[in-house]
Amino acid sequence: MKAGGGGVESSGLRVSDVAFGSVERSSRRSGVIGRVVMMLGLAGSACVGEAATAYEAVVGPIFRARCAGCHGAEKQKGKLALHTWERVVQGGDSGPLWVAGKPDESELVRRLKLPNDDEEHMPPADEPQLSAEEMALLVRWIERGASEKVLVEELKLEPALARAVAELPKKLAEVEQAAGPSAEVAHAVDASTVERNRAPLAAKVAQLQRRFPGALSYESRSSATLRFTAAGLGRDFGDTELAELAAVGDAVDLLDISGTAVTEKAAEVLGRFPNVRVLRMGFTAVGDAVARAIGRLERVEVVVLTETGVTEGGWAEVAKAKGLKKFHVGVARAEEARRAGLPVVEIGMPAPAAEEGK
Amino acid sequence: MNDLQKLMGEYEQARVGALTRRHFLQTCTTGLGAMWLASTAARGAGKLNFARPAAEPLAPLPPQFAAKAKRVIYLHMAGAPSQLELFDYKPDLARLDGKDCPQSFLEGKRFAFISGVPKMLGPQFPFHRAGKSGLWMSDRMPFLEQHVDDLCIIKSMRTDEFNHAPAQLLLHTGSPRLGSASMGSWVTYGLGTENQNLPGYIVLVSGGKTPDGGKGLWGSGFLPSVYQGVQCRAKGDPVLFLSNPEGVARDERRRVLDAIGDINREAYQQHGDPETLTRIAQYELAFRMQVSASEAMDLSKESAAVHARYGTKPGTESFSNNCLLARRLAERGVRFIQLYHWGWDSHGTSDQTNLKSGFAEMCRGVDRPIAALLADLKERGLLDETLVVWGGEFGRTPMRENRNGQEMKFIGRDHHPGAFTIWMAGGGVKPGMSYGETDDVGYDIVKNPVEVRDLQATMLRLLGFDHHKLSVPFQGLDQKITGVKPTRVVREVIA
Repeated sequence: MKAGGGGVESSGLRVSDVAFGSVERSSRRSGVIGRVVMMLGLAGSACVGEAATAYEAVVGPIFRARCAGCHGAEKQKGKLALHTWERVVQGGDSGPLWVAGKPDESELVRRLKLPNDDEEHMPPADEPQLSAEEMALLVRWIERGASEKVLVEELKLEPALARAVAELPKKLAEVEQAAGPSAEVAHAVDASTVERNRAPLAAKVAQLQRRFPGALSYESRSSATLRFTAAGLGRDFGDTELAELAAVGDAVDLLDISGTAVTEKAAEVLGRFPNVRVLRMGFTAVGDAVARAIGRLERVEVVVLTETGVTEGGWAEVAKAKGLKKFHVGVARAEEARRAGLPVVEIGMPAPAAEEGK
Repeated sequence: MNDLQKLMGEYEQARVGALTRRHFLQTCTTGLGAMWLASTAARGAGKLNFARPAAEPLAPLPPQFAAKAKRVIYLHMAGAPSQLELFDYKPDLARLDGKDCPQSFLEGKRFAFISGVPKMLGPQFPFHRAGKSGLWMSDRMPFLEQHVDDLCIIKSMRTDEFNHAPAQLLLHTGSPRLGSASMGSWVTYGLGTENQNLPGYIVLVSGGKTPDGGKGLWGSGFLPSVYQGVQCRAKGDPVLFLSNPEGVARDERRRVLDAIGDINREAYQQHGDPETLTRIAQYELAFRMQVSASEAMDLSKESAAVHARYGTKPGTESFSNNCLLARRLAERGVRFIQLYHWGWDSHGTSDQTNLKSGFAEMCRGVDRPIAALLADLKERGLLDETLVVWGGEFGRTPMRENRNGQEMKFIGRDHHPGAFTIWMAGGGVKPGMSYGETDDVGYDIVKNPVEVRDLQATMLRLLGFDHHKLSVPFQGLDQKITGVKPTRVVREVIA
């Protein structure tokens, strides 16, 4: 999953967050949005002529993919950090990174151009090296003043370099994939960004975490996306509690209320979880009204309705959920759900009746 | 000396002891203590913070990265099943059956029991390609075969240890010696648990024997002991002495715990020993578990259809029961569920350890319940977020065991650390794939070796952690389960 988004839209996802890579990359729910924004912000910038700045679209991503493993949020070798603009302009032990307009006098370019075996060459010889195009892009950017405001179009890129910019996100994603998790750490959001993304719902989340111990948590340390599971609450969780949870419904990506006391009344509340991607309601008393409500959830991808009161007619309602990829229903009713067009997951075990009795 | 005097004497001694220690620590803040503080603070830069409220050591914490796997069910086949009879198909070995083992295999090698020149031993059961993925399987696991397209089979595992106890310890704690923290402890330390009324890390043992590695296999090592595995029993109280003694009512128990809690909190104020907090938390968890654990472990609540699927009989100790319990615990949000099932040590010294009979019987015993567990997880949509791991602590030799250089009555294989097979399913692993290769007879790894620590790092990655970051300082070293040797996350098996 190589998406750029991660914040919740309502918490103010900005193009710059994505381009900066400062919002967690691997979130799934806002993955689609993230990817679209990323394409506008990065790949599209050269041709579409969006107002994306060269730092956001080109320089920042190169720094973070190529350098931030040692010069980032985690480690700051030579007191240099390249994961945010604020730190980039501070430079490191060797002083500022560049002299605006003069690439040949810039420390950054000098280090990059030194022979690989030179001790001062960057990146170190045993790390992946910048491509010729990436170097050319950095040089061009310094020529044009190397400010945060320089736009991609102001770099006046010839076709080969423009193509390189378009391919940059894919290329850098591969570099990071190969580099392993440490690169992802370098990408991790600084604490203040996390806090900002979580802020709109933070008080409510904290209150609900006290109300439902162990059940509500963020998807990761740098994400504002929520997951809820009633696994530890069981029958103590019902329709009233689901309505309480709906206060943070916008941010919930995974809602697991299997085995709870929720009923058909849940149908009225499900709409308040518009971004839910995984919805588990197995082993509950829900019925066709809930099936209809699920059919209206635009983002839902995985639904579990094993052992519920949904009738055969209800499956067609569930099937209206356009994004549905996996449907779990249990062997007994798999066939009828499949007939209604649902993407039923193979259980791979025959119904007990069909087996030799034991 | 009367009792009162004795009591006062002890009190005085305790008081002075506490004062002296505090006095020492106070003066230390400018000397040694300050140096220690400074070094911890420096090491703390860029570290993940695992701090929780004192009363909630098992409160959930988000993983470092967004991850698919939220929990682990580890099915450990203690004794080490033969990969050559189950997953690692070697037709060339069949052709060499009965021939003397080449000297090149024996030079510089040490075996647990093989001596002299053993004979090669071909696969004892027929193999075929299974499922849409066409993975090789023998005919010993027909039920599991129905899930073959969900399995990620790693055939290139290797370990440093060739005896059961150290190999099990290495696999589950990262060290072949006692005293390190187990994987389940690390994971519950890192992620906490979703059900605050059950332990986050539960261990279920079957096969009539505690695994050779002993209870250290689920120890918490240098982590607070609240993170150690809790072994549950199949009969009676799931946890020993969980019920109130006769004549003690629940509210009475509550009052006792409140009083003890007050004293413990005072002790913590004075001495600051985190184990005191563990003690308080354990008492509280046990109080809540008096209700919830009995419910979770009660198999009689399951329908006849479910029992037919697993082949379970409530009230007995069996691997089948433990698989069904594993599903019930997963449903209830337990973070790490560890099963040990003894009986795979197929040396060929008796009918029980004969590949042709005892081993086949073991296969029959686990095949159906494992398949049922995977089916149940799929029905509930839980396999996506549950990482299921199956495997032993090492592999078996492609040579037939010849204890004391003699041909034996039954057919068996010796311990083999050089190559073994495990599989994973669910929790974000690539389904329907085979990873790594052994040579033509399954003796050495020829492609994509996976060390035990690589497996551990990969499991942690699937759970959302960089294995370097899940660490605690202890004895001057940032301890982590993968140790200090170079370790690789096997990204190729991550979906």
